[in-house]
Amino acid sequence: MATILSGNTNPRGIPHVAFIDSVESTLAATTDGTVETLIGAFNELHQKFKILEGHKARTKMSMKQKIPEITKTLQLVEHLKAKHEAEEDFMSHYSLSEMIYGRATITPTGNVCLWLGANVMVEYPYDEALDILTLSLKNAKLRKDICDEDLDMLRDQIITVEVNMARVFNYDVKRRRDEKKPEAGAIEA
Amino acid sequence: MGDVEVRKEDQLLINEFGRLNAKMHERKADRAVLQKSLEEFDDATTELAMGDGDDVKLMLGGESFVDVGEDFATEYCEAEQEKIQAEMDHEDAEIEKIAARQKELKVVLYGRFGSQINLEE
Repeated sequence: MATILSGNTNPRGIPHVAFIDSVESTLAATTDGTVETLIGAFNELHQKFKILEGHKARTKMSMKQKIPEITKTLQLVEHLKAKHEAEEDFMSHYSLSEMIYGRATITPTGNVCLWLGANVMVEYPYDEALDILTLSLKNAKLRKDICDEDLDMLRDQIITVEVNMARVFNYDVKRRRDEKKPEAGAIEA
Repeated sequence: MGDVEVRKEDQLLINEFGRLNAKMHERKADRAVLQKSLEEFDDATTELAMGDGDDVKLMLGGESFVDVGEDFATEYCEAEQEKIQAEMDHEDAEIEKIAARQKELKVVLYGRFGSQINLEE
Protein backbone atom coordinates (compact mmCIF):
# COMPACT_ATOMS: atom_id res chain seq x y z
CA MET A 1 0.00 0.00 0.00
CA ALA A 2 2.03 2.89 -1.32
CA THR A 3 -0.18 5.65 0.01
CA ILE A 4 0.97 5.20 3.59
CA LEU A 5 4.52 6.09 2.54
CA SER A 6 5.36 9.56 1.35
CA GLY A 7 7.62 8.24 -1.43
CA ASN A 8 10.71 9.98 -0.07
CA THR A 9 13.62 8.09 1.43
CA ASN A 10 16.66 9.09 3.43
CA PRO A 11 20.19 8.60 1.98
CA ARG A 12 20.21 4.96 3.21
CA GLY A 13 16.93 4.21 1.46
CA ILE A 14 14.73 4.19 4.56
CA PRO A 15 11.26 5.33 3.49
CA HIS A 16 9.40 8.23 5.07
CA VAL A 17 5.92 7.50 6.27
CA ALA A 18 3.20 9.82 4.98
CA PHE A 19 1.44 12.16 7.35
CA ILE A 20 -2.32 11.70 7.24
CA ASP A 21 -3.96 15.03 6.54
CA SER A 22 -7.46 13.67 6.72
CA VAL A 23 -8.24 10.20 8.00
CA GLU A 24 -11.41 10.13 5.97
CA SER A 25 -9.82 10.72 2.58
CA THR A 26 -6.90 8.39 3.33
CA LEU A 27 -9.37 5.66 4.19
CA ALA A 28 -11.31 6.28 1.00
CA ALA A 29 -8.13 6.19 -1.08
CA THR A 30 -6.68 3.03 0.42
CA THR A 31 -9.49 0.70 1.33
CA ASP A 32 -13.20 0.07 1.02
CA GLY A 33 -13.76 2.42 3.91
CA THR A 34 -13.11 0.01 6.75
CA VAL A 35 -10.15 0.67 9.00
CA GLU A 36 -8.86 -2.88 9.45
CA THR A 37 -6.78 -3.03 6.27
CA LEU A 38 -5.27 0.39 6.94
CA ILE A 39 -4.45 -0.41 10.57
CA GLY A 40 -2.99 -3.72 9.43
CA ALA A 41 -0.77 -2.00 6.90
CA PHE A 42 0.43 0.48 9.52
CA ASN A 43 1.08 -2.37 11.93
CA GLU A 44 3.23 -4.14 9.40
CA LEU A 45 5.12 -0.94 8.65
CA HIS A 46 5.58 -0.32 12.36
CA GLN A 47 7.12 -3.77 12.80
CA LYS A 48 9.46 -3.23 9.87
CA PHE A 49 10.64 0.08 11.28
CA LYS A 50 11.15 -1.56 14.68
CA ILE A 51 13.29 -4.33 13.19
CA LEU A 52 15.37 -1.80 11.32
CA GLU A 53 15.72 0.28 14.46
CA GLY A 54 16.99 -2.74 16.40
CA HIS A 55 19.50 -3.45 13.67
CA LYS A 56 20.79 0.13 13.58
CA ALA A 57 20.96 0.27 17.37
CA ARG A 58 23.16 -2.85 17.39
CA THR A 59 25.49 -1.43 14.75
CA LYS A 60 25.74 1.71 16.81
CA MET A 61 26.53 -0.22 19.98
CA SER A 62 29.32 -2.10 18.25
CA MET A 63 30.76 1.19 16.97
CA LYS A 64 30.53 2.63 20.45
CA GLN A 65 32.59 -0.29 21.70
CA LYS A 66 35.02 -0.12 18.86
CA ILE A 67 35.86 3.56 19.26
CA PRO A 68 37.42 3.27 22.75
CA GLU A 69 39.25 0.10 21.68
CA ILE A 70 40.86 1.90 18.77
CA THR A 71 41.66 4.89 20.97
CA LYS A 72 43.42 2.64 23.48
CA THR A 73 45.40 0.90 20.77
CA LEU A 74 46.44 4.29 19.41
CA GLN A 75 47.63 5.23 22.87
CA LEU A 76 49.77 2.10 23.16
CA VAL A 77 51.36 2.54 19.74
CA GLU A 78 52.15 6.14 20.58
CA HIS A 79 53.80 4.99 23.79
CA LEU A 80 55.87 2.45 21.85
CA LYS A 81 56.87 5.11 19.36
CA ALA A 82 57.92 7.56 22.06
CA LYS A 83 60.00 4.87 23.77
CA HIS A 84 61.56 3.90 20.45
CA GLU A 85 62.53 7.47 19.70
CA ALA A 86 64.03 7.80 23.16
CA GLU A 87 65.79 4.44 22.57
CA GLU A 88 64.54 3.10 25.87
CA ASP A 89 63.35 -0.32 26.94
CA PHE A 90 60.41 -0.61 29.25
CA MET A 91 58.93 -3.25 31.50
CA SER A 92 55.46 -4.49 30.84
CA HIS A 93 52.99 -6.80 32.49
CA TYR A 94 51.01 -8.01 29.56
CA SER A 95 47.81 -9.97 29.69
CA LEU A 96 48.48 -13.65 29.14
CA SER A 97 44.94 -14.67 29.73
CA GLU A 98 42.31 -13.39 32.08
CA MET A 99 43.82 -12.84 35.54
CA ILE A 100 47.28 -13.96 34.46
CA TYR A 101 49.92 -11.45 33.45
CA GLY A 102 53.31 -12.16 31.97
CA ARG A 103 56.25 -9.88 32.66
CA ALA A 104 58.52 -8.77 29.87
CA THR A 105 61.10 -6.20 28.93
CA ILE A 106 60.03 -4.57 25.72
CA THR A 107 62.58 -3.19 23.31
CA PRO A 108 60.68 -1.17 20.72
CA THR A 109 61.84 -2.28 17.32
CA GLY A 110 60.11 0.27 15.18
CA ASN A 111 57.44 -2.18 14.12
CA VAL A 112 54.18 -3.19 15.70
CA CYS A 113 51.72 -5.93 14.82
CA LEU A 114 48.09 -4.97 14.45
CA TRP A 115 45.33 -7.51 14.73
CA LEU A 116 43.18 -6.83 11.72
CA GLY A 117 40.52 -9.41 12.47
CA ALA A 118 39.62 -12.52 10.48
CA ASN A 119 42.68 -14.22 12.05
CA VAL A 120 45.07 -11.86 10.35
CA MET A 121 47.83 -9.91 12.04
CA VAL A 122 50.02 -7.55 10.07
CA GLU A 123 53.29 -5.92 11.07
CA TYR A 124 53.56 -2.19 10.45
CA PRO A 125 56.11 0.52 11.17
CA TYR A 126 54.78 2.79 13.95
CA ASP A 127 53.79 5.67 11.71
CA GLU A 128 51.87 3.47 9.33
CA ALA A 129 50.14 1.75 12.24
CA LEU A 130 49.14 5.16 13.60
CA ASP A 131 47.78 6.17 10.20
CA ILE A 132 45.73 3.00 9.93
CA LEU A 133 44.35 3.33 13.44
CA THR A 134 43.52 7.00 12.96
CA LEU A 135 41.69 6.14 9.76
CA SER A 136 39.67 3.33 11.31
CA LEU A 137 38.84 5.60 14.25
CA LYS A 138 37.56 8.18 11.80
CA ASN A 139 35.52 5.55 9.94
CA ALA A 140 34.04 4.14 13.12
CA LYS A 141 32.98 7.64 14.20
CA LEU A 142 31.49 8.31 10.79
CA ARG A 143 29.51 5.07 10.87
CA LYS A 144 28.27 5.88 14.34
CA ASP A 145 27.11 9.31 13.16
CA ILE A 146 25.26 7.73 10.24
CA CYS A 147 23.58 5.30 12.63
CA ASP A 148 22.59 8.23 14.83
CA GLU A 149 21.05 9.98 11.86
CA ASP A 150 19.14 6.86 10.80
CA LEU A 151 17.97 6.19 14.33
CA ASP A 152 16.64 9.75 14.67
CA MET A 153 14.84 9.40 11.39
CA LEU A 154 13.47 5.96 12.26
CA ARG A 155 12.16 7.24 15.56
CA ASP A 156 10.29 9.99 13.70
CA GLN A 157 8.76 7.39 11.40
CA ILE A 158 7.78 5.10 14.24
CA ILE A 159 6.11 7.88 16.19
CA THR A 160 4.31 9.08 13.08
CA VAL A 161 3.02 5.58 12.38
CA GLU A 162 1.87 5.24 15.98
CA VAL A 163 0.04 8.54 15.85
CA ASN A 164 -1.45 7.60 12.47
CA MET A 165 -2.74 4.33 13.86
CA ALA A 166 -4.23 6.03 16.90
CA ARG A 167 -5.95 8.58 14.71
CA VAL A 168 -7.41 6.01 12.33
CA PHE A 169 -8.59 4.00 15.31
CA ASN A 170 -10.16 7.01 17.02
CA TYR A 171 -11.80 7.99 13.78
CA ASP A 172 -13.40 4.56 13.56
CA VAL A 173 -14.61 4.63 17.16
CA LYS A 174 -16.13 8.03 16.63
CA ARG A 175 -17.77 6.99 13.39
CA ARG A 176 -19.32 3.91 14.97
CA ARG A 177 -20.63 5.97 17.85
CA ASP A 178 -22.18 8.47 15.48
CA GLU A 179 -23.78 5.67 13.47
CA LYS A 180 -25.37 4.24 16.59
CA LYS A 181 -27.31 7.38 17.35
CA PRO A 182 -27.94 9.10 14.07
CA GLU A 183 -30.93 11.02 15.49
CA ALA A 184 -28.83 12.82 18.06
CA GLY A 185 -26.32 13.65 15.35
CA ALA A 186 -29.04 14.95 13.08
CA ILE A 187 -30.47 17.23 15.72
CA GLU A 188 -27.09 18.64 16.54
CA ALA A 189 -26.38 19.24 12.89
CA MET B 1 -14.11 14.19 24.99
CA GLY B 2 -13.04 17.07 22.82
CA ASP B 3 -11.14 15.76 19.83
CA VAL B 4 -8.35 17.92 18.58
CA GLU B 5 -7.17 17.13 15.07
CA VAL B 6 -3.47 16.38 14.71
CA ARG B 7 -1.97 18.78 12.22
CA LYS B 8 1.27 18.25 10.32
CA GLU B 9 3.08 20.75 12.51
CA ASP B 10 1.83 19.00 15.64
CA GLN B 11 3.15 15.71 14.32
CA LEU B 12 6.56 17.27 13.71
CA LEU B 13 6.65 18.60 17.27
CA ILE B 14 5.62 15.22 18.68
CA ASN B 15 8.37 13.58 16.63
CA GLU B 16 10.89 16.08 17.90
CA PHE B 17 9.87 15.41 21.46
CA GLY B 18 10.29 11.65 21.02
CA ARG B 19 13.66 12.14 19.40
CA LEU B 20 14.83 14.32 22.24
CA ASN B 21 13.65 11.74 24.75
CA ALA B 22 15.82 9.08 23.13
CA LYS B 23 18.79 11.45 23.03
CA MET B 24 18.31 12.35 26.66
CA HIS B 25 18.44 8.70 27.71
CA GLU B 26 21.55 8.07 25.69
CA ARG B 27 23.36 11.17 26.93
CA LYS B 28 22.56 10.31 30.52
CA ALA B 29 23.96 6.81 30.03
CA ASP B 30 27.09 8.21 28.39
CA ARG B 31 27.48 10.68 31.19
CA ALA B 32 27.30 7.91 33.80
CA VAL B 33 30.13 6.06 32.03
CA LEU B 34 32.25 9.21 31.96
CA GLN B 35 31.48 9.89 35.60
CA LYS B 36 32.71 6.43 36.52
CA SER B 37 35.99 6.68 34.65
CA LEU B 38 36.54 10.16 36.06
CA GLU B 39 36.21 8.74 39.56
CA GLU B 40 38.62 5.96 38.71
CA PHE B 41 41.22 8.40 37.48
CA ASP B 42 40.62 10.52 40.55
CA ASP B 43 41.32 7.51 42.77
CA ALA B 44 44.41 6.68 40.74
CA THR B 45 45.77 10.21 41.13
CA THR B 46 45.20 10.08 44.88
CA GLU B 47 46.94 6.72 45.14
CA LEU B 48 49.85 8.05 43.12
CA ALA B 49 50.24 11.04 45.40
CA MET B 50 50.16 8.80 48.46
CA GLY B 51 52.43 6.02 47.20
CA ASP B 52 56.23 6.18 47.55
CA GLY B 53 56.68 6.67 43.83
CA ASP B 54 58.70 3.58 43.00
CA ASP B 55 57.69 1.01 40.50
CA VAL B 56 54.48 2.50 39.14
CA LYS B 57 52.53 0.31 36.77
CA LEU B 58 50.13 2.04 34.47
CA MET B 59 47.40 0.34 32.53
CA LEU B 60 47.73 1.33 28.91
CA GLY B 61 45.63 0.00 26.10
CA GLY B 62 43.25 -1.67 28.50
CA GLU B 63 45.11 -4.97 28.61
CA SER B 64 48.76 -4.47 29.45
CA PHE B 65 50.47 -2.79 32.35
CA VAL B 66 53.50 -0.73 31.53
CA ASP B 67 56.13 0.29 34.04
CA VAL B 68 56.41 4.06 34.09
CA GLY B 69 57.80 6.72 36.37
CA GLU B 70 55.55 8.42 38.88
CA ASP B 71 55.74 11.73 37.01
CA PHE B 72 54.59 10.15 33.78
CA ALA B 73 51.71 8.40 35.52
CA THR B 74 50.58 11.51 37.37
CA GLU B 75 50.77 13.57 34.23
CA TYR B 76 48.89 10.93 32.27
CA CYS B 77 46.10 10.66 34.83
CA GLU B 78 45.71 14.40 35.09
CA ALA B 79 45.57 14.80 31.32
CA GLU B 80 42.92 12.06 31.11
CA GLN B 81 40.93 13.61 33.93
CA GLU B 82 40.89 16.94 32.15
CA LYS B 83 39.80 15.33 28.92
CA ILE B 84 36.99 13.41 30.59
CA GLN B 85 35.89 16.45 32.55
CA ALA B 86 35.66 18.44 29.32
CA GLU B 87 33.56 15.70 27.74
CA MET B 88 31.31 15.60 30.76
CA ASP B 89 30.81 19.35 30.71
CA HIS B 90 29.84 18.97 27.09
CA GLU B 91 27.31 16.23 27.94
CA ASP B 92 25.87 18.34 30.73
CA ALA B 93 25.43 21.30 28.43
CA GLU B 94 23.68 19.11 25.85
CA ILE B 95 21.42 17.53 28.46
CA GLU B 96 20.43 20.97 29.66
CA LYS B 97 19.69 22.10 26.10
CA ILE B 98 17.50 19.03 25.50
CA ALA B 99 15.62 19.52 28.77
CA ALA B 100 14.95 23.17 27.93
CA ARG B 101 13.61 22.33 24.48
CA GLN B 102 11.45 19.52 25.88
CA LYS B 103 9.97 21.96 28.35
CA GLU B 104 9.05 24.30 25.50
CA LEU B 105 7.52 21.46 23.52
CA LYS B 106 5.51 20.30 26.51
CA VAL B 107 3.98 23.75 26.90
CA VAL B 108 2.94 23.83 23.25
CA LEU B 109 1.71 20.24 22.97
CA TYR B 110 -0.09 20.05 26.31
CA GLY B 111 -1.61 23.43 25.45
CA ARG B 112 -3.01 22.00 22.26
CA PHE B 113 -3.92 18.44 23.24
CA GLY B 114 -4.34 18.60 27.00
CA SER B 115 -4.95 15.19 28.53
CA GLN B 116 -5.12 13.53 25.10
CA ILE B 117 -1.37 13.37 24.97
CA ASN B 118 1.16 11.94 27.35
CA LEU B 119 4.66 13.34 27.12
CA GLU B 120 6.43 11.65 29.96
CA GLU B 121 9.42 9.30 29.94
